[in-house]
Amino acid sequence: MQIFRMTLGIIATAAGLILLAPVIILSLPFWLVAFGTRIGSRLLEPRCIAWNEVFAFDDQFGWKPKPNLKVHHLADDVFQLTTDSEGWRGRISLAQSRVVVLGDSFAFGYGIDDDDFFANCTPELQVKAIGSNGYNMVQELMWLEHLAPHLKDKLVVWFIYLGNDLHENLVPDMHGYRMPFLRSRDGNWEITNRHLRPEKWPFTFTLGGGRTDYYEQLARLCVPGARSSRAYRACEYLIQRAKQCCERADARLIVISIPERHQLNSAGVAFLQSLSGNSSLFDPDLPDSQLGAICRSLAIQFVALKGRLNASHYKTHDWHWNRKGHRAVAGILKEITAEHAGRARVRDTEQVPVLGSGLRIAISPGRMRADR
Amino acid sequence: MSLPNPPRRAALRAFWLTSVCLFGLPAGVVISAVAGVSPAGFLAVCFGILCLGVAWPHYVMPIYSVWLRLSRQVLRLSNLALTAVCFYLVFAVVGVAGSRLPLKRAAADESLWEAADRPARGALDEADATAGSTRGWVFRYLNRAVESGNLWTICLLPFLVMLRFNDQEGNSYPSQIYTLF
Repeated sequence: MQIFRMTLGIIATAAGLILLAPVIILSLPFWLVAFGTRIGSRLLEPRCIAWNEVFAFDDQFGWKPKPNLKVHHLADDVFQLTTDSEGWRGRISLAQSRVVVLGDSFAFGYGIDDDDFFANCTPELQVKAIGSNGYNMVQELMWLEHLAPHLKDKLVVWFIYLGNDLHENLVPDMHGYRMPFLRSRDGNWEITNRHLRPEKWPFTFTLGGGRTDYYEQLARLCVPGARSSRAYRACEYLIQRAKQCCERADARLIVISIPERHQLNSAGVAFLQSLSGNSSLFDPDLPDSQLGAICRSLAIQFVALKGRLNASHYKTHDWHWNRKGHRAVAGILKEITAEHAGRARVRDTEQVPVLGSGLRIAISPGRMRADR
Repeated sequence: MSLPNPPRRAALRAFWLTSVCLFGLPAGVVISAVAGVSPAGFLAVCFGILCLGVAWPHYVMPIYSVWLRLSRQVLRLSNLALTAVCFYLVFAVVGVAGSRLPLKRAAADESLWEAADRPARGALDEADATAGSTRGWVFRYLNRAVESGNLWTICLLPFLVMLRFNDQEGNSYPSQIYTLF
């Protein structure tokens, strides 16, 4: 019976294959192209290293990029990544720089090759980016304070990503990675990093988990209320402290807000509104208007990239900027630097000492600034 | 086996290389022979086209997208035809001679558990179906066919291989880029 069954099977298979001949002939080019593409991409693609090979635990800042890397890493595509002896991207050192950009993965240039990284796009600007994936503003401020002795006469540009920075200032972890955060005690804000250890943070502070959680955090910051107000107060504290640090270091601070991709088109705004919990009070411009107000009150220049970037500057399958986005940001930095240089010239020529106090009044276009 | 979707630059380059080698070069040979054009000239043109796609892979994307859509439709139809032939022809014919697969519904007091030291009768288990390379699963499949005494299932192998080629599971990006834990 076994042999009989086998014989029938062979006959049926042969007949089936003959019947399927047109289908096989039709499919063959597609199989060959798919096979060639798979094999070819495996051969052409450089070996990528994992996230934990790019970043290392740091007991003060939570984590930081490893120094002296020249590797490939995978975001939406493989990208080449080089870090200096301190672990930062960019071809120049902090000492050589005139502009220091502080930020998270946007400042790190996540997902973009070295050649297209905004800090390398305009070498004449001498931009040094100090940033790492997943950093919140607290970590960025800590780096600013840590590097303050090296910032004299530099322009410090602080990238604030609206997607998660404001929310993550107030939580002790990012996807389980412990990070310094801000908490209020007796009505005063304080930075806490005592919980930093390499072990995973065991608790989660999410709105319910899932893919939309990230967007929900941003959506809720677009609705006036206790939650968003707390986030903006924390932000104000951090910016104020950064300003004081820059003043002590004789550097100038500029704040730039980076919109989340969904904030840049009507469909994305509608999506965020649906997650906001209160669509009648939803204001997509609230984060920028709040940051703008904070910066105005502290006499800090504020630039909202929402008016300067559009969805085409972002990657399709990732949150970060694409090559076009990095070039646009490099252009914006160039404008800001030129404006800053102009103001500095005005300040140098118009600075007058105020007798007896050591206070110097600097008059710049549209603004009065006091430098001690 | 399907094209990676969404594709990375390396996939676009590999797609372009494969396509030019598979279609461009043979077409070039035919056109050279028919039109009497110098094969060297055509090769140079092919090489130029190849270099363009390799240097600027994002320009290949529209062609890739069209090919991907076409491939999905063709492979879906191919899958339908393959499974139909398997079911209505091979199973039907082999079924005439009966089967050693336990197809009968178990009696109320009868257990369907297999002894742990005996290879399970019938189809592949999940681990076999998902594990390893093509050569690996083919070998395990043949082994299982012999061990279970269902030698006729070897006849299904060409269909299974083709179904695997038609697999539409695309590559997606890692869902979470921060993956230390």
